[in-house]
Amino acid sequence: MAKTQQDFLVAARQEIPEVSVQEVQERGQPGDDFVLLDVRENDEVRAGYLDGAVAIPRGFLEFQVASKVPQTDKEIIVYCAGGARSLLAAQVLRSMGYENVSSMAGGVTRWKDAGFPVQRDRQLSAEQLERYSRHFLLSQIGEKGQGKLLDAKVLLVGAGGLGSPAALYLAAAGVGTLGLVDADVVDLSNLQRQVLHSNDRIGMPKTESGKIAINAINPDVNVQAHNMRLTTDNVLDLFAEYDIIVDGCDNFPTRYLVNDAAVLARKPVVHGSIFQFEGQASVFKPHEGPCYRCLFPTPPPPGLVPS
Amino acid sequence: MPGVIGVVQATETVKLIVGQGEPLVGRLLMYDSLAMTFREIRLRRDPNCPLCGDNPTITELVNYEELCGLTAPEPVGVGG
Repeated sequence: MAKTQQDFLVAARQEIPEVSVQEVQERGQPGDDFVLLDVRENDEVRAGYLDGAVAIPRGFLEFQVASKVPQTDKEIIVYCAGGARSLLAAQVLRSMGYENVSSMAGGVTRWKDAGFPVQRDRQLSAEQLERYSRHFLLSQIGEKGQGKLLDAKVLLVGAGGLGSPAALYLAAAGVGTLGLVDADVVDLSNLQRQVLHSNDRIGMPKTESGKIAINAINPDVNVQAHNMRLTTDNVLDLFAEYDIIVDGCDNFPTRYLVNDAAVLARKPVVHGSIFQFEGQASVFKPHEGPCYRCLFPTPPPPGLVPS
Repeated sequence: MPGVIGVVQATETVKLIVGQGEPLVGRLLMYDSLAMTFREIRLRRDPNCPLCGDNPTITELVNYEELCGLTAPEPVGVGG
């Protein structure tokens, strides 16, 4: 005789121990001793999940559990919305060799009814879910990483040869706030390499031209156009508004100014420089690694090295 | 073509934001487009660095045109 949903659940209950939401709450944050496994669909997880939970939709359980929970002797508490899917998922885990698996009775519904808190990641719009869907396929980024990108504030010093590609890729990736600081206007001779700008924007401030290009790729990005020279008077106030500084400047005074201000303000600098056919890049993280002055305490004499 | 370095910078920025991978902290990546080679040299924080060393002598911003020997303070643009 064909089995009904009830038959499956009765069989699962005979095999899988159930724990109450109170017991789970008393266990505290999952860590070395146990894993909390959320087997609901992505949109359900998005609406709220238990702190520290690992999420694998039930349909992907057999395919993903080995990478997310490699040790089969680890204790796993499985939960879903109401406590039924988690029982069936726990049965699958048992048959895959996981020895210590239980199911949270009543699921997230009972958890919330008991007044216990749920975590919510940044809520993405339907358009954002599609725009960044390829990021979600990368476990190192995922929806959590996309949330961090959207919350990030990055300042690009220079909207020229280095700042152009950096700005375009950071915009496409969904960095939420991009600041551009540059005092120049777009010149025809820039267009051979400065791909942020275009023929019809010659004469326009580079910050304005950059804003147009960035928002044409991704209207999510809040572009701050700082159409000015970076100076000792404005640099610290400007850096205070950003998390990361991308240095794409083309002269030594600005490079030392950026370095010194970033160390004083404790902001990481993603450094890049080019000359003719050669280039270099590094990340200067204040007090965790070297700064530009650790390499070059003082600038070269003027005229000796092209900037 | 400066795009290579600019895209390396964008990649490093994304890594810092999401907290994944090994950023270029303590490493200088050197790119030669004619030879088409990437080399890398290890960098160490200098405990005697005048700025970020153990006993820094630079504790505030200085005059950077003067520092770079540009006596006439010509406006210096940024933008490569």
